Amino acid sequence: MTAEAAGQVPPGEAGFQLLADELPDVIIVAFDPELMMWAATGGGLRGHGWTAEDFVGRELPRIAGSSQAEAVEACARAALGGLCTELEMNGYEETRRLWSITFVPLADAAGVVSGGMALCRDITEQRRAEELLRASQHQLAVAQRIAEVGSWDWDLATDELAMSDELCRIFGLAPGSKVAMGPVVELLIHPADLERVKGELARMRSDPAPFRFEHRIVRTDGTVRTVMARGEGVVGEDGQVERFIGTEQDITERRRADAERRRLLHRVYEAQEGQDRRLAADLHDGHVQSLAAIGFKLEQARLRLGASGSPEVDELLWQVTKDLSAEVTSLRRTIGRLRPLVLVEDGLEAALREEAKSACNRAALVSCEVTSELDGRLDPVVETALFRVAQQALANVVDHAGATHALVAIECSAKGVTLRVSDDGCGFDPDHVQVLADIAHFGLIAMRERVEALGGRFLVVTAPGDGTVVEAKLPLTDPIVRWEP
Amino acid sequence: MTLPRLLVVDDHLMLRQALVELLCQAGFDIVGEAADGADAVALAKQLEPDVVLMDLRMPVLGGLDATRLIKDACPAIQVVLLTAFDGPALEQQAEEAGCFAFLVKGGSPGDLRLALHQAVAARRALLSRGSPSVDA
Repeated sequence: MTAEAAGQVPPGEAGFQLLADELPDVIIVAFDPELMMWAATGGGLRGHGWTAEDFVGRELPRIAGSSQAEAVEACARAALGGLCTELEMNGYEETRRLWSITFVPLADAAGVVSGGMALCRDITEQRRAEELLRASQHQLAVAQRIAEVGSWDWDLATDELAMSDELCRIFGLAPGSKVAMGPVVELLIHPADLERVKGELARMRSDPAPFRFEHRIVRTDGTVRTVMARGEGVVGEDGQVERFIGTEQDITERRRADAERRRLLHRVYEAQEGQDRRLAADLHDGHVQSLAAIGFKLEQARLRLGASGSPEVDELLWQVTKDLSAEVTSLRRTIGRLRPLVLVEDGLEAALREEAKSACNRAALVSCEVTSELDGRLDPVVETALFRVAQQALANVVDHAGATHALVAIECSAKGVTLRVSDDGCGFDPDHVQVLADIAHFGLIAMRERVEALGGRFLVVTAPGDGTVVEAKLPLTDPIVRWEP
Repeated sequence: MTLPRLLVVDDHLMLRQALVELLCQAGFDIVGEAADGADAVALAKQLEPDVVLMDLRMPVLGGLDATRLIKDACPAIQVVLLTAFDGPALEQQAEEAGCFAFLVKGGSPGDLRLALHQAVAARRALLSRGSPSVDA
């Protein structure tokens, strides 16, 4: 075989020099049929502090150490035979360096192979970079696996979706699967979330803004997982969205834990409400009645004494009856707090109106208005939770806000019900109530947990001098029943 | 003038007895006692007291439902509700049921006596006018 046939014949010495100039990092040596090097050139010489004299007149195999000389000779002889070969070897003097050597035949003007050429390239840095890249990719893959986060790159023009191995694992696909976004969505997105996800994807085609939404997938083995999708678009020079890069995190276990936490909290509150109901019933059916009876007996004793009794005894009995009456009133208030009868019998709006009236009586409030969009009764659990939040929020208005006006508003939508208690009082610095005792003091933790236990959202907006808004949003459907992985 | 005739209704025995003794002492004629709303309705129809002193929450039939039935059957009989609960909503319900007055347990015994006397006066005023709507 001739070198020409291999397409590797440089056009004479001028071409040889041109090649060397074009490849500044390469060292090119030419050798004759006896493997004697007769020329050496290339920018690589200078880079390593060598000159042509270091090569010319020496046998080619001697550029390698004894362990590699044989391989070099074999490749050189193959070039003389018209073949192109490649060899990677460590440096002779600097063994840490790695060289890639390509042996090609060298032909004369007639096209007959009369020698060979070795193109030597120091690939130490390239290999190091490749190893770093591989390590980095491995590290990324491990991190993705640990965090259960898969990454993807969606080309909008071709609809091609490049997925990381971890994403393939999350989706239940074979690692390295090549798919298009359209079929993936149809195949994997949970039917209940399909329209919403499609809507998001349609929006993304023209809006590169970062996004974040939760959805479920049905893996190829039929299991349902919950994932959090995040990403943002890449815009081309023409201003159009070209690609989207994003991640999908498997949050199934977290959602399960959330649901379990909510379920347990829900049970705690149920137990607490039950305990309060029993305590209220005990106080009402026992102590209040007995104390009231004692009051009536004292009054009876006072009447019996009549004019015959001493004024001092009469005064004493009257005072004791009055004190007892005050205690019974206080006990009745306690019962009302433990189990607000109006909430049970007349519902949230009526209970809030009474609570607002009570707040007005206890504080220097000019008004405490209640507005409601409620039409009928809510689930008793939701009513109780919202009432307890309003009760605590109004207690804060009374005890801490120094407000003149407060508003309790209930808004309804198809998704849920929102309770908002706002006041024009002194407000507070939310950063300063990060101290646990203060948070507990304002009942903020209890309010938040109560709302979140039902899958709702709790929000406090306040600043010193700007009043306070406490907002609780609850879904109308029981999230504990509704939730599925 | 006959003594004001009262029917005392409360499921708490000790309280009911204390009420009965106090009101006897205070010059009322306790014509009957009941421990639930259903007995109260039956006794009210049978005894036709001037006033029923009615508890709110009782077994069998609650005070508000019992009041409605009594007012339907005997409109002139006045009902004074005496309860451990209070609040505007409950007060409104009591008014709608036809209660003459709404009092809370633990309140002043003087207020109780006053409310009962006013109720008796109201009943007797209705009877003296001979209104056809009052009970025969």
